[in-house]
Amino acid sequence: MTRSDALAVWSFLALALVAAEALAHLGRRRVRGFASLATPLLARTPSRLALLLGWMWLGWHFFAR
Amino acid sequence: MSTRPAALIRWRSPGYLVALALAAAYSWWAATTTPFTVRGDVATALPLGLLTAIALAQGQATRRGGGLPGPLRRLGRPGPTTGAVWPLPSVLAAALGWELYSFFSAPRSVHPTISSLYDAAASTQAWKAVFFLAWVALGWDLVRR
Repeated sequence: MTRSDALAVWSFLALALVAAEALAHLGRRRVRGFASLATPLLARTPSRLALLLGWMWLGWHFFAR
Repeated sequence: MSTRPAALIRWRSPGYLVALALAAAYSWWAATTTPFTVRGDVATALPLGLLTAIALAQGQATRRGGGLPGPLRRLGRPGPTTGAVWPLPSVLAAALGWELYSFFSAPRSVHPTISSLYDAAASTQAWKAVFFLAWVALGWDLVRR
């Protein structure tokens, strides 16, 4: 395993994410996108709280600590 | 609650464009700060506190039946959606697995994690500003839905 191999895997995963989300918007809704998957989670308080806490942790981890 | 199409139309309104410009300017400034400093903490804490306050106000408005200004209200629930669920969660699960494998492997230069990739990309102010703006936009989207 080299750094190039690892970066290739990350690139593939990033492209797969973009492709899946693009399919959700362009592919006559045959695939569900982020918004469609997150909406039911955001409708219930515990999972909404968990997602918001995750967002807070993300910002604090990358930008503050 | 406002309806989703109406809320989407508002993205074209001058108010939203001004808010976007302000958020972009703030992100540009936040990108000049350094982690593990007071300025970095403050730059991150401000949007974090603001969106938390909006989320709490939404909760209170729901309980009391009061109203909030339109842009701060939660969007109405969309209609039922169809389509395959598995593609995105599968990719996310694969990314999580690869992140864990990389995290527990060494050296970091050969096994980069999301954090180390971010550190490399965020060494330039423009990219860090883009990441910060994306984070703020994600939080705003979570609060509104």
